[in-house]
Amino acid sequence: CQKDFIELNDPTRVPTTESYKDSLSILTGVTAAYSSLQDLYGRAGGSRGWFIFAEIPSDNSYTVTSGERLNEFNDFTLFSDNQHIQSYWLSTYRTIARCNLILSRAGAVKLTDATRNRYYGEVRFLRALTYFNAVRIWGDIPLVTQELQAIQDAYAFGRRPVAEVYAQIEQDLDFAEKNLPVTYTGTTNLGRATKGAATALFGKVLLTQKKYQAAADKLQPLATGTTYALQATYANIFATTNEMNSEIIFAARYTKGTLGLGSAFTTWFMPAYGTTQSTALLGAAFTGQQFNTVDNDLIAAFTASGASDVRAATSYVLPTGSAATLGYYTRKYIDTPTAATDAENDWIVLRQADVLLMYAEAVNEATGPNAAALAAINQVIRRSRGLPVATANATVDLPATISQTALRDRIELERRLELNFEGHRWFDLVRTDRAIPVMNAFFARYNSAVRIDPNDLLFPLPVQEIQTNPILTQNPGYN
Amino acid sequence: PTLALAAAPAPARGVKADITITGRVLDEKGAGLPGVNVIVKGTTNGTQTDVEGRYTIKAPDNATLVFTFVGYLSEEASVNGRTSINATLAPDSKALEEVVVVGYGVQEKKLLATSISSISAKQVELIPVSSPSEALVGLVAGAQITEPSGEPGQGAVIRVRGLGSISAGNSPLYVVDGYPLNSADSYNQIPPGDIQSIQILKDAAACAIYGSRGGNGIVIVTTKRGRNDGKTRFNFTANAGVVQVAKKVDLMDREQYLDYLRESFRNGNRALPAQLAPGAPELPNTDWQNEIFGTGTQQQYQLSAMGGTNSSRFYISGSYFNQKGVVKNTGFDRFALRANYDAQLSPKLKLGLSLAPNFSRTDVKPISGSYNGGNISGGGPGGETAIVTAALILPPVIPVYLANGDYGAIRNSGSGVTTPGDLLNPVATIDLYKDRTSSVRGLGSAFLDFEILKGLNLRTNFGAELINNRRAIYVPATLSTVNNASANLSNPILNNIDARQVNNTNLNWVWENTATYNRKLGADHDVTLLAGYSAQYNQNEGSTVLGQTGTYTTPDIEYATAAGQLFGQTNYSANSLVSLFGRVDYSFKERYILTAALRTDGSSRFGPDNRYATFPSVALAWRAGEETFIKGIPAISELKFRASYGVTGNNNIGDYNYQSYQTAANYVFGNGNGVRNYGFAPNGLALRNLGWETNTQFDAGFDFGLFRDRIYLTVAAYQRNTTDLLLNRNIPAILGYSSRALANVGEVRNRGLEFQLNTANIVNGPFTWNTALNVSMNRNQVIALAGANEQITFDAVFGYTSSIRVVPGQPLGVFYGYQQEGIYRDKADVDGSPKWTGSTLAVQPGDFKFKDVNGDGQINSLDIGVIGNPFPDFTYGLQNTFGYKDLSLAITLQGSQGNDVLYAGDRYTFNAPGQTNGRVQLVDRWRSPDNPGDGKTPFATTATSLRTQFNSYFIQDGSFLRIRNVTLRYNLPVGWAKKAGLQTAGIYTSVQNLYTFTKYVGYNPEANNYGNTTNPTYGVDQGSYPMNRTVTLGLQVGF
Repeated sequence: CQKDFIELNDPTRVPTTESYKDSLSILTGVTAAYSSLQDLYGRAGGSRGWFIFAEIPSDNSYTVTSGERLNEFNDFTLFSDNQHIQSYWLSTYRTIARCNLILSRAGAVKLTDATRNRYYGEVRFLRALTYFNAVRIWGDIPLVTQELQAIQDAYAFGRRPVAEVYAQIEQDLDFAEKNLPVTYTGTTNLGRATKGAATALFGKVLLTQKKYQAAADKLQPLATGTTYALQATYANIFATTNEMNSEIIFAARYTKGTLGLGSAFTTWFMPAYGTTQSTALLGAAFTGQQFNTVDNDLIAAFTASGASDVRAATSYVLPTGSAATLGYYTRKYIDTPTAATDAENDWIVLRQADVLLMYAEAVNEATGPNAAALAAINQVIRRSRGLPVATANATVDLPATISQTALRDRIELERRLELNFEGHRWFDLVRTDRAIPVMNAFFARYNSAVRIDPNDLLFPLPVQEIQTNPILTQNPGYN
Repeated sequence: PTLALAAAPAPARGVKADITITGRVLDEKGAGLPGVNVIVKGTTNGTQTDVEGRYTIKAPDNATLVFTFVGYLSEEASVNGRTSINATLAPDSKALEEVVVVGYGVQEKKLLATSISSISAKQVELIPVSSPSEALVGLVAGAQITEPSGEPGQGAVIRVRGLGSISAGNSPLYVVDGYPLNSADSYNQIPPGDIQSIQILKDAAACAIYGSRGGNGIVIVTTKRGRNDGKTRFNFTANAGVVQVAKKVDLMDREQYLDYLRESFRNGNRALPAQLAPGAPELPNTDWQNEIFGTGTQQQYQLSAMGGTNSSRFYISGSYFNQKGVVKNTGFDRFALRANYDAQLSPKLKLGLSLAPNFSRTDVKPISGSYNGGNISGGGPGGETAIVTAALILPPVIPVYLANGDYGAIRNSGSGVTTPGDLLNPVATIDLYKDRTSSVRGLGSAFLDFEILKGLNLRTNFGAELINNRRAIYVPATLSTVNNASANLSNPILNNIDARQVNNTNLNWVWENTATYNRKLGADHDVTLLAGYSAQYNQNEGSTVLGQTGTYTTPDIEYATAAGQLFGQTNYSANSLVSLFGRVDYSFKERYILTAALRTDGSSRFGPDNRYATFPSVALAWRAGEETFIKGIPAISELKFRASYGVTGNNNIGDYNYQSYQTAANYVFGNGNGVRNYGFAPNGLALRNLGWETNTQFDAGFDFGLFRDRIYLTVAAYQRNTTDLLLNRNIPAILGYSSRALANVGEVRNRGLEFQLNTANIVNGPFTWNTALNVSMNRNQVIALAGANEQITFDAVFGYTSSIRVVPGQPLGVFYGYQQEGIYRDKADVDGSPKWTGSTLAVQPGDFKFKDVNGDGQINSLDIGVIGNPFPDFTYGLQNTFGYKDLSLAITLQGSQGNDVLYAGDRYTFNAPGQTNGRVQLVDRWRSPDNPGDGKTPFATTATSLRTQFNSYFIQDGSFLRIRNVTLRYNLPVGWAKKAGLQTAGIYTSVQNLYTFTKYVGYNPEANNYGNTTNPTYGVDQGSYPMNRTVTLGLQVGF
């Protein structure tokens, strides 16, 4: 009686101790794991997301806002107390904790094995994706694969070698690939991780580890299959009226309407000009924040690619009434937000064009150019010229005689042009060991004094985490 | 018949026969002494003397009568068949038999080993205030009792022996007639006239009996109870008077203001608006303070009846208090009833009942803080003009009313005259903003006390308090607010309407069971044992209903239903506490005294791994004065040394804080744009060992009485360490929640000295004079926070970012900013001084000159440091009571030395020079190298300058000496009163806050925008409600 008397719960909320006891709470727990994708790829009021690592440091993009400390990513002047580093670290491990929670709790709940394994597959996919992003940002990282029950338990987790993290990612993806459905039945599940998503990510993980033959083998069924297909028109990939189209393998999803689930990219990337220009461009009277602005070097690359490259028009635009020096704006995230930072645009994580280019790269690196590799990249090239994807075109198709080096260079270019502002460029350069030469040449081209060295290929760990748990070490070149 | 009478047997000698005895009891001056208890020795048969000291009693002819009266030595007289016995009582200035309430019991003051201050009804009953906390100001050593606001219905803030907590609050526990209150406000709603005594328990040894709630000290209130002499006494008091602003702030008048404005524009190279240029038509000359302040009124009535017999006793009172504040349309009134009933159900069984229903109404306004978002007592809709702040900065050239009857204001739209935006009219807020809280409180309790064996009492006590607050807020369409600055009488804006109905109900109950065993073992050993068990539960539930902005359809209905669409919010929280406690009081020959207490509290707020907290304490005292070697010195009437050690807690760590709850984490799935899918994730890890804050306190002191205690000195020294502070500390983010979590870390230390000196300077003769002096010193220091190099920062007011900081090594909540050295006198001074590099600004002569604290030749943020401490070096109180025959005069002084105050009204004056008015000291500003003013006040300019940097110029010395209360009383001679059918009658006049001697420019050096806040933000005055001067006339009659 006495014990009950002082055991009080807040009746206006559900205590965690009362949760995860039935299938519904497992289902909502899996949804919560997906929910943190919005933090990993960018959420208003939360983490800025992936573009600050994958785009801003690269030669595609620059940031205008210095008060935000995003310029540190642009200028390679990052300090370990940068709030975005801390925020992404937290988002990373929050996602992982939500996945681990399902893995540790779903076993005790009545579920059919198929459903349980599907849930396991979904959260293991999400965990693999999260670790894959994190290991590329920081290198060695703490590897948490179980639910942590007490604060003091966390102090035992130091950084684990990259290879160990990749081994875990591969295990997770292997499980996900085997247990996830090819497609979901019903119209309300679209957006959940599929077998194809696991395969595509697995391919990318293998490619990143330079396991070229294994990557080619992994990607081959997707590159030649029919589950996913390129959109006929490049612009349609990004249309908010065409979300989760045939080309999308996996995306972080957003929806507007003041539900707290809107996408912030329109506002974040929008030019910071007067509302008149913004309204003219976007139909929305909000002032943009210009966090992620198209660099002239990307414009130059498109110019060099030629006027027939239809991707240019979808990729960037000069806002009405502004001088070219004020900067271009990416068109991939244009929408009319309900309110500032409440727009519709999803963040595409994996799409078929990426898979085709990865497949071509894997084959090229493993064995040199062959017909399968060229077939894959040619689809992307044809569409970029507004040509039918499936019809061979001698003018634009790469010749069968192309050398390995030439194909490597072409893949690098096509990835830059095809996937610009979708969160690939910086890590593509790092993966192919091209970051230092490409970036330093870029800086030299624009008379910048910045030069990068191998230390710049990893980002700093958040200093607060190191201070809180001193067994964590900092990456070289940061303090 | 004669024969028959003679035949009746005469009573034999030695056989008891009751005879009627009459007599008169006189005091040492020969005057009749009313109210003396006359008891037949060895019986419960007794009576009391009347107003002239006369009595009549029936007693056996061989009995002995005992005459006792508080403050006098008792007298015995053998009857020996006499029917008339007079007695003269000698005063016992050694009033040590005074009893002190110690929590679950009472203790004779002389046998007290702990540190307790005691205030009796007499000291506070005539003070014209609404709450008992205000009545205590200046009376208590070791407690810092301040009145940060004169707002009607607001009590004083009581802090016992400094501040120990940063986030869990520093408010003491209030216990009324044994009931530990959940809300300090319930204490402030007790009419002071119902109070018999107030004890303030200061050291941990005294407070440990309340365990996890005793860490901030305890205030114990005992209300009046009935008497057993069979007579019913009525008492009626009435007083009424006026309330005025004790002091106004000297502001620049119209000409001084215009001069300042023109100079600001000239120095800032800005063109003057035509209507402000010299030679323009004469502008209005408004004294805004006069417009918002008026003369308030205060009235208070109380009728009580007190009486009873040995088998039942009662005290019943009804009272009414009403105050109309000095800010027009603010006010407070309260009806209160109290019924205390005690019954001796059988020789061994006692029953007690207390009922205290109370109804109060408070009308509040936005008063202080930001000019465009004033603080409203109890919170409220944002964006209202703060009345006092606005009155202090609105230029005198603005008219109160325009020709069309609208309220005048400075509108920024288009004119560019002000940079603070729209400075709106405070008179409009006074007239139009409506905000009334109606509170109903009912506190009821009952106890049964059973004496199971001689000296062993079992007692069970159940009480409950129900508080219901209903608040109605209405912002009309015609009141200009920050969102709709153009709203005015001629321009009602429906979108501006904000109507809210707030309802909150608090239920609190407590059940306590104690066993007390009191026994004298032999002649020398006195033991009292206490053991008890208690359970307390508190539940708070409320809702707010408001109309959605923009859906109001009519400006005429002052209720949320005027909106087309209603919104609501609800809130709920509860906590519970179970406790076991015990105490041992032992004294040997009334010379060596030991008190030890122990309490274990289990609280719903504590984590499951830390659910029970145990608080031990021990106190020792040695009454050296009772030793024969001192008894031989007749001058020394008391000498007692005492020391104590104890541990107490603070359990105000919030309900449910240790628990983990599911929070929404939704996502989008589905065809097309997708739909919201509900997801839930834990909001954090359960903090299974979250617990109370711990106070460990040492206390040592002595009592020294001379000349039958005519001089009585109490001295105490203490050290109080508060550890396990409730703070957010960093945790590894790999846990997956937040990077911070609550934990019990950190430490704050308070050390202090306190003195209480009571002297009876003149006692014999018609003229009497008594003095009481108290002095308290407290030194506060933060020892550690959650992590190394950690600081907790607060913005003193909007715009002064991190200007209050909690930093290890410093007192809690010191002011942080630049140290002003003076004013740059001329160009050479600018060039020859360390260079300002805190911004790109090129410093001008006449601007603030800050100190290069770190000596690096530059002045920048590295030179920001401590520039003020809101806590005084010492505080003191002095009461002098003079009597001459039927006249008495009591004067209470209250003082504080060394406390710093931020006069934050300056912020607007300095951020928008000339466009806002300011205090008159600005006239002594730097005008040119040859006319540098007072050397502290910078030049007037609208251009960017250092004037917006927070610095020591804005911090003022808040030391003060206040004539807190003067009461002059005349008691009608007893004969006159008797002719009128009265027992006693007196008239009196009382002046509260007569005058304050201080250099501080604002209304009140104790002002604090944040009042009774949990945060350590003290000494901030931005338009605080001024201190009231209250002058009342009163009448007291007993019949």
